[in-house]
Amino acid sequence: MVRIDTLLSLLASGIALFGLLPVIPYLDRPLLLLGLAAVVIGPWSDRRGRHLLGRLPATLFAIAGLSFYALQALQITRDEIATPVVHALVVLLIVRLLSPKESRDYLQIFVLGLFVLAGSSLLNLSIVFIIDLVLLIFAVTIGLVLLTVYVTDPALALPRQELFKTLRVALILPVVSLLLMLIFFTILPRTRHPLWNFLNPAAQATAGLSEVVQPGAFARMSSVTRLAFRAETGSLPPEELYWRVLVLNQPQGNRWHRVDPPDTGSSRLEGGQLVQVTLYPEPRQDRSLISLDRTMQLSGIRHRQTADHMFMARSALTHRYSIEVTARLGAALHQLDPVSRSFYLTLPDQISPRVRAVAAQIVAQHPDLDTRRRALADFFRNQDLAYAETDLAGGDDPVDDFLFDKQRGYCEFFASSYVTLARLAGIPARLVGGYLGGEYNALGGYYLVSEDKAHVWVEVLTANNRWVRVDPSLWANNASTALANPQPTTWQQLQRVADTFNYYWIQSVVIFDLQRQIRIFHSAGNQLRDLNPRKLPPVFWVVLAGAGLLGGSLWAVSRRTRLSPEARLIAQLRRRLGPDAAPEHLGLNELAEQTNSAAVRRFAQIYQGAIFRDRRLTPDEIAQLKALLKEI
Amino acid sequence: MTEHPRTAILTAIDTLANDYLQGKVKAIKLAMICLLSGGHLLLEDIPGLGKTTLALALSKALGLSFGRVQCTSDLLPSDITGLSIFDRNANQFEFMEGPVFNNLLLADEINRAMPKTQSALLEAMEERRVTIEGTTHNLPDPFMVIATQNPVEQVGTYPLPESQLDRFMITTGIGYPPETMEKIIIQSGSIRDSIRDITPLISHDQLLAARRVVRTDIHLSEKVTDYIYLLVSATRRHPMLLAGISTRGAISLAETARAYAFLAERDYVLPEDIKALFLPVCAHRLIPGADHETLDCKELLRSLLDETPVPLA
Repeated sequence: MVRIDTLLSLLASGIALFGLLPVIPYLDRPLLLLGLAAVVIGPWSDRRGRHLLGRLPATLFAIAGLSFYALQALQITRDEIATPVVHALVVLLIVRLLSPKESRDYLQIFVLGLFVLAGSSLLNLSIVFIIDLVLLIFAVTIGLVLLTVYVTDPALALPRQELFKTLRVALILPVVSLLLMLIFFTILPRTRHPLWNFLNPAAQATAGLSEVVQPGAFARMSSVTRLAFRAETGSLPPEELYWRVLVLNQPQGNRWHRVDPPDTGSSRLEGGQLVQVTLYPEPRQDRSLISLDRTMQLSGIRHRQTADHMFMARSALTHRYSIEVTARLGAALHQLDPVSRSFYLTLPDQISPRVRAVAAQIVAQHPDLDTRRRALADFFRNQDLAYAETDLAGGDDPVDDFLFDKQRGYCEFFASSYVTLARLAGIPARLVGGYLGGEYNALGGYYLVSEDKAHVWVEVLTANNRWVRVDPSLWANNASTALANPQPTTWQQLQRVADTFNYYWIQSVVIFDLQRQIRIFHSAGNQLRDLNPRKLPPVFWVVLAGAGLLGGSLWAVSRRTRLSPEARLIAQLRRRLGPDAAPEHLGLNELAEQTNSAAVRRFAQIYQGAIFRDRRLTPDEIAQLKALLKEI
Repeated sequence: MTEHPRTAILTAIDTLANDYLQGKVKAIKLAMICLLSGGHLLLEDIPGLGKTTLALALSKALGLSFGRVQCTSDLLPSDITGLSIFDRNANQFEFMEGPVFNNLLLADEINRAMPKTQSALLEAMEERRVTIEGTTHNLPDPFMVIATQNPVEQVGTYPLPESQLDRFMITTGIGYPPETMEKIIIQSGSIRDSIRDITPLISHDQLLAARRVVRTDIHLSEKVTDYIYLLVSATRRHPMLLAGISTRGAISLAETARAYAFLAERDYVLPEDIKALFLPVCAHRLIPGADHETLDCKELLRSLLDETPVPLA
């Protein structure tokens, strides 16, 4: 025997947990712990019949919690209103879990669980949402069915078999609603934005890739492992994985920033290996699009290409999107028209004499730009610089401090020092911001690039007017270890597997929008028009036959269930006798005479005795008739 | 008397069919059905096949009074219904009952009577009473007319109009007896004399009880009603027919089917009962369209039976 109230209290806890899961990262730590505790304590105290909160304390606690978060909501900006609302809902949920429950309290828990889950969609759209939604739909429908039983008698206990029967019936509802969800998903238009953030895009902290390069701004750099983007492609050589985003070309004090370069006319890519990449970037503030160093073509979003080969979206990029990139790995950009050299030779205001001396020496020894570049590389290697993220150079002149005193720093130091020296030596150069490398997820077939892969490197103009990539960070004495991908730990491998699912979720669900719907219908229409039955693969016919078989059997089953037992018996009789032997215009007695079979005669007698007295067959008679049918 | 009325009737049919009217089981049965369901019988056959014998034997075996009219063109209505004759002694008119005041009336060659006489008879058949000179006389119960007509001979006949044919519940032929049977009959000669000696096999009360059972205790299910309606409406829609079966025809079908089921020792009607009676009850009620005067109505009804599905579930 299973008590309904025990089951309900467990379900209520489950529903609360499913509601809480997607908002866990956004909850205050104490409230989160309290919530998880309530999920565990709730059923336990229901079982003992003693609750932590009586009716009155529960109300007071709820009012206190609500006013606290209401005040918080008033204080902070409206961008953040979703979080206090979710917090307030969680407070109510905790109160309900910890106080004594009647049927309406269970209903409240169900509703609150759903609300918290709905609240989570204001904050983010992750795959946890759909999993939780499915679980909640199942739990809530089963809970509602149990509640109807519970209302009639709270102390009711059902034998296991009865319970399973009830639950089986209850399961039909969520299964049907999930099927409907699937249909509506493909048909209805939707948003790709988390609901609240879409209306009020929150100012996201620009950790990782930033729009200015300012070495020495921080004494240490904290690594952020937040996801930057995913790139679907085959495995590529790691030394070529430079994801190009921004070009910074003008100094301003110690900073390098971007000024739209003068139009340099047409350019051409030379050499390199052709690759196709589909990028799924996380939403970001800035309009510059991520591409793979040297991108030939970019599609999937409306954009323009700048003179220095950057790609800028035409509208804000706060939603999820995907872009398809065709790139040539390791290609050089041939600038066909003369480049404005003075623009790429502008120097920072403050350059230390030591730095000027190095540049002057290189200029004196090497008349030719290309050999100057080689000498510059030698200089970096000889300085024995270390790649580091702590104990960094700083002060008024971080470049000088980095090169000659601290001799440690991260990519921004290397790159800005190199650009300064190169420009001093008369080599046109610019800084390029982007990402280096990425973890390849072989399971999903994509690169996972997080914000801590943000990198800055340099592009210099060669004597024959080609922009080539130079990465000064590679000359650090510890470059092979500092810049390479560490071996993934087991935990990271597990995370990668989890990320694969999230990736497919984003790719197939979140990105799925009106445009894609139209595209699907359009391409389906095109394919149908160009359909040549002879060219279809055999698999298609197998699938078609399978679908036909399935549909046919479903139809037969539905027909079977639609027929009355009498009609089914008659149909079986006809089948037994064969279609020609039992035409529809013959009565049962005639059939019996025609077949001259005692079983048919007996069948006719029993069957007619009921039907033509206008009564239904009794179960006993049906059993007899079925037995007779086997004899026929 | 606890015996079911059916038993006596079945015994009577058996006795008649085996001992006296060999090879006429079908006709005897139909006549019995007709009697049980309170209708009248029209026998269509050439003379000399035992129409009169059948009627006579039936009346004897059932203990019913029997009257006979030989219809001719000069037969007057009063020859059937009876007339008032002045009684000198009583000094008043006395009503002399005609042959119609019998349980069983055999109207031989009904199509030879003039229409006036025909209609007088048919009126009596329908109303079950006769009004003569202002006085209404009820006919005995049961009352059944067995009319005969010769379908072949057409000279000097007044064919019954369709409206009057509709009043006969059943029309049937007798047909030649099977070969062996006929040889026996030829050998043993006419049985007219032995018929006079038949003792009643059923009492009057038994017959009335049986009629009551047929009327009240035999179940006509919805499915069979549907089947009757299907058949009837099929005749109404049929392109070769001017008019299909009337509602009275459908009622007759249902009533005779009840009697049929009764004789088959069932208390419910089967679609097979309807099938068995569809031709005898309905064929004479059809009016063929102008272009199909020669239509064989029985054949048409048979084809309808083969097209109409029997409702089983």
